Amino acid sequence: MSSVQKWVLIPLLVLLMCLATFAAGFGVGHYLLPSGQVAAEQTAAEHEEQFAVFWEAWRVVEEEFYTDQPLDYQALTYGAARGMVQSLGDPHTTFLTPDQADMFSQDLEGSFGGVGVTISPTDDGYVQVVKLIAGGPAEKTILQPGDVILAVNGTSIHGMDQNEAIALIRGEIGTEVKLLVRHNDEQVELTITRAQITIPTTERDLLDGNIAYLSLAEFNARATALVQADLQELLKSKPIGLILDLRGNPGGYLHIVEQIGDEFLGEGPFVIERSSTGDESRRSTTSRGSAEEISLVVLVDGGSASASEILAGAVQDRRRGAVIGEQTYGKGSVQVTERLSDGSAVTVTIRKWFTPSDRAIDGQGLTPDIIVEFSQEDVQAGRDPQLERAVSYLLETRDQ
Amino acid sequence: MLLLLMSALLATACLASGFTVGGGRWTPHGDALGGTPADQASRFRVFWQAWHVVEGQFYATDPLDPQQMTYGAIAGLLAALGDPYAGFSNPPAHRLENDSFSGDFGGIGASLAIDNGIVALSTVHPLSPAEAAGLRSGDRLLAVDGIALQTTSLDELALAIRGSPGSTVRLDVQRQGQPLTFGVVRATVELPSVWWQALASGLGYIRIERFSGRTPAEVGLALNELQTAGAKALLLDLRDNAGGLAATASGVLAQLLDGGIAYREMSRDGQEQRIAIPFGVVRASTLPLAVLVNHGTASAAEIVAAAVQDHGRGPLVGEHTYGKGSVQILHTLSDGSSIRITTTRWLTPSGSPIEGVGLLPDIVTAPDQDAVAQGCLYLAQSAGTRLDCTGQLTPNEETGKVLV
Repeated sequence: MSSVQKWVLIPLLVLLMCLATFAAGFGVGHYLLPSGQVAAEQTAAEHEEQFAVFWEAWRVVEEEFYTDQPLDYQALTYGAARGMVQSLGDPHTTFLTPDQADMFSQDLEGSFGGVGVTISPTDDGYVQVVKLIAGGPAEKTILQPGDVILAVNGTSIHGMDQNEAIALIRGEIGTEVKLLVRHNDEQVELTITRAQITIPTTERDLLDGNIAYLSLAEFNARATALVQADLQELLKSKPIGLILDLRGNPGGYLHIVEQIGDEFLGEGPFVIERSSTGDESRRSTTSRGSAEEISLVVLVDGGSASASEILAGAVQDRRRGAVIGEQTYGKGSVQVTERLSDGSAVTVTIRKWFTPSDRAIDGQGLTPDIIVEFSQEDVQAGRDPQLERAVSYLLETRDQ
Repeated sequence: MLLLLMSALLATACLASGFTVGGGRWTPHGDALGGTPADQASRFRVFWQAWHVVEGQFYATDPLDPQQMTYGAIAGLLAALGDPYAGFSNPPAHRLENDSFSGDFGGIGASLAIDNGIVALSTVHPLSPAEAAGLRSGDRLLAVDGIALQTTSLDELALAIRGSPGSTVRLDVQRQGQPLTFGVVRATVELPSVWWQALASGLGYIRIERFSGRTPAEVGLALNELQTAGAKALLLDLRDNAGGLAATASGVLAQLLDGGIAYREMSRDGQEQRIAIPFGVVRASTLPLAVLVNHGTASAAEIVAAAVQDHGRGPLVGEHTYGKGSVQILHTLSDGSSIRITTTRWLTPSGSPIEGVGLLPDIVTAPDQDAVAQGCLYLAQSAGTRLDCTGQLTPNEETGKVLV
């Protein structure tokens, strides 16, 4: 990768959706240059002999397959590409159709045309509403968390990849989408006009005891500017400490987490990246930053992944502050997203990353310095024991 | 879906299949998209772009395997058809699949079983090559052809032990703590698909577990033996029979019915073909008959059940059947892998569709009722004979084992 390219870290599946448990990937988005087509032809020629059985299978399908519809060659081609990529056995290496790839980059921008709900898959092959985004179109309908989306514009989403369902629900701002939903055990059809949905990136608050609170939903393109503005505002009151809430944050752009990390960390190592051939890249933070001295707590949970884990890992290894909460997701790989000539894309794992003291977190996650669980009873009682512990930690350390 | 070698044998059961077998009609060449619109080549370019990205950038701990990637592409192509019965088998999985369809293979005539992670020859069958070589039931398997066991997948071990009849396989086993080595000359081993028992007082019971190339012959053997034993009525058990080779259904019907249509086939261009029941092999066209079916009765088993019902040969007893009215072609590719896709629909002799509909039994049994007893009661009444319906069926003991 040349240094000109913009490194990013992409929340893989954030839609109008949530993804507490989904992790994020890094990526670089750029279109294949014309030379890419030459390369593709060379690649095809190199593997011609080995690949011959594929064309045998293709012709059997063409001549024998029982279907009422003409064969959709585009879908077959994408299917082949998806299967080829899946055969690598890496869950973070995926093929995206043009629609899915567009959705992916919309997530990076942090806004898109949608209905304003976050969704998650159900056990029976549909998706359910997890949360309504404040001010979104869905909030004005009967939709509520727990409702199951069965069909979009008459197309059943049963068995669909969540990304495919998302691509159907999203669309141009101002257009209508019909959702067939299961609401209180009844099937209801809703027509919703899509509106601009902006994923709220940061929230700030000044808590009792003059403690600054800043939550970050994902490391998207707008996150650095928002964090910097929030910090400027929060630091005006000379708080005794700062809580950075990365719970449920699935990741985002690499250069953004570097910039944000630089706000909190002085000069020193930030993250180590390694390729499969052993090539190593060590990234560092600098002495530029507005919150390098203030007492710091980073809140994490099982939904904190990728970029969140890089930041929390650096804070932990460099003893910059306390990491409080629950074991993190454990996604220690870096992806690149390459757009192909027709707008489809492949996201490919290209590197693994390690914390400054060279800890691997892939598949394991980070263990917080102070483990605090968030129980179902806490949710019902409206308590946040992790935040409470962060506050008491900052008050205790000040007293010392 | 079925990329795992282990699932190859199960697949034929789980997928509720009705198969025809296709040959390697196409010579392989990579010049591409014969018979497809001209824009196919450019459309397919993105596939190679994706491959190129993977080759150039993927974090691979082992070197990339173009063959696995090709197989992945085929599996993905088939998945994109939206055909729940489409699938790909790599060459070893296809060998097991073929053994299962043909109903015999080169082997040693022993059953492998696994108990607490220990693989043993649970049964060395009488008169088998394994017995002739000196192997005994209970011998613990240590190595095949000098290679120590690295897997407890019975299917993978079966592939290693099976081979051409006449060739030799070396097995290292442990017997009462002693290591022993045997060379076994493989012979043709039959994979039974039919199981039968003469129950007390004239009831012949035949269970077809799946439809392989051997099934019609095995049913013939069963009918001869049961009639010799004095069977006055037949209970044909097709419960949990998920199908198999569709063509063998007519071979089974030929022994129970005096001609007529076995089933109708509908190709994708809408052409209907009537498949006749072959003449000249009837063994039991007048013996009172009842057929046991359930939700697991599918495909080739539904062909037999539907024909028996349509021709008024006897009642179906049990539960609503699965409803699989499609036939797949099993096509062997030039490197020994295979694909299966749906190529035709079939209809009952009277023209009723099956797909998604299934067959309604003439005598519906509740889940807690004993279908065997119900069938027997019907046969006793209709045959006007006394049948003792209390006889016990011996369960098939081979479940969970793999014959090698």
